[in-house]
Amino acid sequence: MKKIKLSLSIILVLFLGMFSCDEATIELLPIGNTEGTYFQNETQMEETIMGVYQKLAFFYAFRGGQNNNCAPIWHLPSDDLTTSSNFAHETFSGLNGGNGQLSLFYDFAYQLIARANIMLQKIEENGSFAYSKQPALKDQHKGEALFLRAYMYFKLWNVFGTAPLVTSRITKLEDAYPPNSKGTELLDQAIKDLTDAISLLPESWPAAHKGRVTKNSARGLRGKIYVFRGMINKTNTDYSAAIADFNSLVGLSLVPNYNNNFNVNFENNAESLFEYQANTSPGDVNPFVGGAGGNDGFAVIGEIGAYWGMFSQRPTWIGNAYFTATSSIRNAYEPGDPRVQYILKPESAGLINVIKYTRNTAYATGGNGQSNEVSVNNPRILRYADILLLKAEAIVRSGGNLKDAIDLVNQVRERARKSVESGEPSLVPANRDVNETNAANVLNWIFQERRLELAFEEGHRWWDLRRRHIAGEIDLKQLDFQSRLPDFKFEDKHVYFPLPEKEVVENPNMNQNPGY
Amino acid sequence: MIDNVFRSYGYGAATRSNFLGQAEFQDNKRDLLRNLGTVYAELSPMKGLRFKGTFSFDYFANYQDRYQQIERGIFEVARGTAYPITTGNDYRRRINDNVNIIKEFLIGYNNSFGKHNIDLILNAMDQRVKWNNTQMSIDSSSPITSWEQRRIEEGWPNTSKGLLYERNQSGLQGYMGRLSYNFDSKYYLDATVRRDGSSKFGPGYKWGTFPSVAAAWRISSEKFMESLSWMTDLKIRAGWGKTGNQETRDYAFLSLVNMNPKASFGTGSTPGNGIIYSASALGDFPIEDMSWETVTTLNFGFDAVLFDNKMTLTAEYYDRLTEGILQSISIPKVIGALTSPVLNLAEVENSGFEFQASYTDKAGKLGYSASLNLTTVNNSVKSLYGGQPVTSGNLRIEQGYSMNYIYGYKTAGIFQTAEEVAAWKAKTADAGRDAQKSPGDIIFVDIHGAPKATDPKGTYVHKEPDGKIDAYDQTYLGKTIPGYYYGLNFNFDYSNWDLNLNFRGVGDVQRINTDGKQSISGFGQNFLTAYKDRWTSANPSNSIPRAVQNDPSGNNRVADRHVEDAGFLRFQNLQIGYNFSGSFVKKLGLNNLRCFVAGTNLFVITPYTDLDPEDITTPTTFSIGANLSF
Repeated sequence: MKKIKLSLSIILVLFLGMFSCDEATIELLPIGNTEGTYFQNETQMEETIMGVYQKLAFFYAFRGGQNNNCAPIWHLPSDDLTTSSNFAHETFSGLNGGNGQLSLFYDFAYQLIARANIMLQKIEENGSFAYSKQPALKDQHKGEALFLRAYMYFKLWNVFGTAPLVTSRITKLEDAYPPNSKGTELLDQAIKDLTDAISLLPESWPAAHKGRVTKNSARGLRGKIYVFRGMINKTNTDYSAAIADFNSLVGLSLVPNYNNNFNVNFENNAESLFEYQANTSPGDVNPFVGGAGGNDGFAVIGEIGAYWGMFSQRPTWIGNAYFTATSSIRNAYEPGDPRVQYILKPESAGLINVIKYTRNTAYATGGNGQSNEVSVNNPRILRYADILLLKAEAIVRSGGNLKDAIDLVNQVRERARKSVESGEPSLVPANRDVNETNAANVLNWIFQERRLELAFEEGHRWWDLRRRHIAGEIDLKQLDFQSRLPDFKFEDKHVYFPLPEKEVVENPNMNQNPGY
Repeated sequence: MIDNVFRSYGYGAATRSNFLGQAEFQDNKRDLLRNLGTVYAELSPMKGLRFKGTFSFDYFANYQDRYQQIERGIFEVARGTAYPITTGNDYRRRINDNVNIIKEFLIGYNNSFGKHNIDLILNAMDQRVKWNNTQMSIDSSSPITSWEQRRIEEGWPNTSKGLLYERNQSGLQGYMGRLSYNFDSKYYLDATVRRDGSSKFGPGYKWGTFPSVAAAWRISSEKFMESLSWMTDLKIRAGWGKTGNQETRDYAFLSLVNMNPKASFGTGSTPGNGIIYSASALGDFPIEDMSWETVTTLNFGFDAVLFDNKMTLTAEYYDRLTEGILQSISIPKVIGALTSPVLNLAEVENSGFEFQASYTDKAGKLGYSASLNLTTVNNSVKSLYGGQPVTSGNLRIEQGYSMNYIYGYKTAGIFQTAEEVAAWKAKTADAGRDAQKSPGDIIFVDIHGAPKATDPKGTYVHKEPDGKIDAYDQTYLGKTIPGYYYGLNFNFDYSNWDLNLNFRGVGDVQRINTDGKQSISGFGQNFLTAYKDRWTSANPSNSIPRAVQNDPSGNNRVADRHVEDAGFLRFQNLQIGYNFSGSFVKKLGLNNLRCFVAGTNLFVITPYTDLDPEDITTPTTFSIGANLSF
């Protein structure tokens, strides 16, 4: 009987033990933050906006291999760069919806847009209490999110033209099948977002936050997009809006030496409107979950470096997949143009290396440097020289005073002449004739100067060629691209790159760009 | 080491890593520790009634140590030299520990009332699984010089150390009641209800209820069957029931905050570097209503034993409907997610027949038995989440088709002449793959195109040629779920000898095989001899395309030419044994002694041309052995 009593009590204990847990066993929450518990205060909102900026890294970081790096998309199509490696962006003929880099670019662009949309959504939902201690941050975050989103729309228009427009966070699968955008819809939305951003962003940031986007960044980018759109849609009002934007810029100037724009010691300088803030990947990034297996895409988690290895034939084990300059661009510079020494370095076998961001490896590589291809040298996305030339273009296109336009070109040329490391300024490039009355000539001067001044940065050359071809101003079929690849063949359809095939096929509302 | 001399050449570019060489400079050790414990208390206060409480505890830890020396680099492909001294000899320790605690409480009651027999069980269960992962490492600046010296000291620079600690937990609760009843061993009825709750699903979707009921009638126990003396036993049965599956990743229903990103602004301590700010991102696209996957099975059949237990026969029809298959899917990139959501993807029906027959008899001293089984499967996807087909690689899930069918292109041989290429190109564009199209390339067939404005809204493909080869031209090429499975088993014994033969097979199934069928390119590797027959102008093959760098014409796209019949018959087991008998066995102190020779996976008969239609790693083994009993 005693035994039974003992067993009974054991059973009772087990019985109670079981049902006292109730449903706690299955009402677990993960370790770490969930969306429902986050976005509550300034710190978390600040982390959210930083997460939007971080996605920019994916367009510039090495990402474990040349084939996962997005740079070929904007560098290789132009007549400035070529390669002996098999890149469809170089041949054009090899382009189709299966292209890996285009697919990654598309992926990253929409990831950045999604992060910006989440920022905007959370400001809308939680803004009333999450900024109680620093109310000014709310508008600033909103402005930053709108700016970065607009920048992505601009990039998407330049690459695909017809990529879908996504203006709010997608939370239902049935909303994830948007149609193609049409015409300049992406640019229209970018202009709209930037208009809001200009009113929300600060004129400047405290030193510890230098490099975050400002009113100037948004004014400059909006002006640039106005010029692009005006040209495609042949709308004069866009040019006057662009000029107004450029005139509203505050406190910008050309830095004394051209090369300071590519020197790590002069990041975020007086000429800078927008840079990707490349950095050594922080030591507190978890080394175990970093690397190729990181779950923030393929890149090393927290990777915030840049990569210039495509210009420097590094790392050597990748083989010969590096980009060389064409003789076309080399010959475009007048002998004695001081800029050349900072840009080109002829190699054996007639190949010309590009040294723009890598001239001094000490400033091109980051702290944990060469082995993992991290450069801390910021890609300059939008700088004042670009703005001056765009302004000149807008003046010419809107029938303005040609002399004003030529003066702007000459500002850029004058700085080029003075960009010697020591001694007397150079005599070339000489000023353009301010009395020129043929607008077409002036326009050619402007595009020539854009090519020389902005060579190998951000694909400026290709985006310029592309928009002029779309607008019917030039015929790229006649251009000598100087490709080293035998399969090179440019056709009209190639100004719109193919959308990722899987996205098109699985979305009944979206079509592939014509010809693919 | 070559001739006992350490030579650092030979492992540079275009070589393969030397794993033996690497292993010389790498030490790995794994220790497993497992502690299983179950305590229970059972009480039977009256006849037929029992209470049982069980508590089980399973602790499992896995310690992994790895020590690598810089010299391993000598044997790595495209390296060939030791890592720099600054890289250091690195050491890493990983500890995974799992705790699984199950508490159960059961009330059972069984009794007979005349010819009524009942058995009732009520059970409650609570399971909690905790998982921890700790990793620590030291890489550069490690003064460790040997495996024995492995350690990580507090004073070593933090920048050379790595540390990770992760935790995860999941829980499951369940209640079950089962009533079994039979009357006079003639009529059987079984009814069960389960109710299970899982931490893997969100609020409101955690619980699933799974009833089942089965009935049987032993006809042979009826009076009117007594005259059929050859009928030893005959039972007809039918059942219907639901079961649930919760296996998927934890917290898939939640949107988690990813704290991995970082951003930098301002000016840091070294040129070019800024101040690092922590950042966050939402990377998930949770489908909040994801819940239990359920399988509803309906079956009926009979079991018969005939001729004094010599023959058994079983036949059954089954229909198994799996609803809400838990699967992660790739979602449109415009969503901007970093992870793939898990959702209740598809409703799939499997139906068919199962037959089993066996016969056992003796002919003189020869005893023999043979058995045979056959299962047919008709697999069909009934519906899909949002009606959207899911393609991963070359397998596709689409309504109306067998699950994970093979999806690829149709081909029409190989171009033999430049005229053929020109004629094809005049009608068909293959974007991005046209520039080097030439004789020796595969001829792809244009069958479909992008949906047109005139197609109904939501159409994924326009089923007419459009003059383009693209993803729309992919189509059904074969199925990966066999249409039938079968097995054959034979046993013989004669005097002291016995022999067992076992065969099994599947049919009506296809598989992709690309070996020996591709446009080869590159160097520094071996190729199959089949490529000696590839297309060249002198050898106009119609099956293997030309060799060309980087496959510019896309010859290697998965197509009908890669799909092979993967049915097979496998000789699974053979065993020959001999039973020693007589006083000799007794003298050894044994009751029984049997020696045998056995073989598994002796051969496979298949039209499939790669090594094995199931799994190329399946070994063929032979063994000899002895069974002893005391």
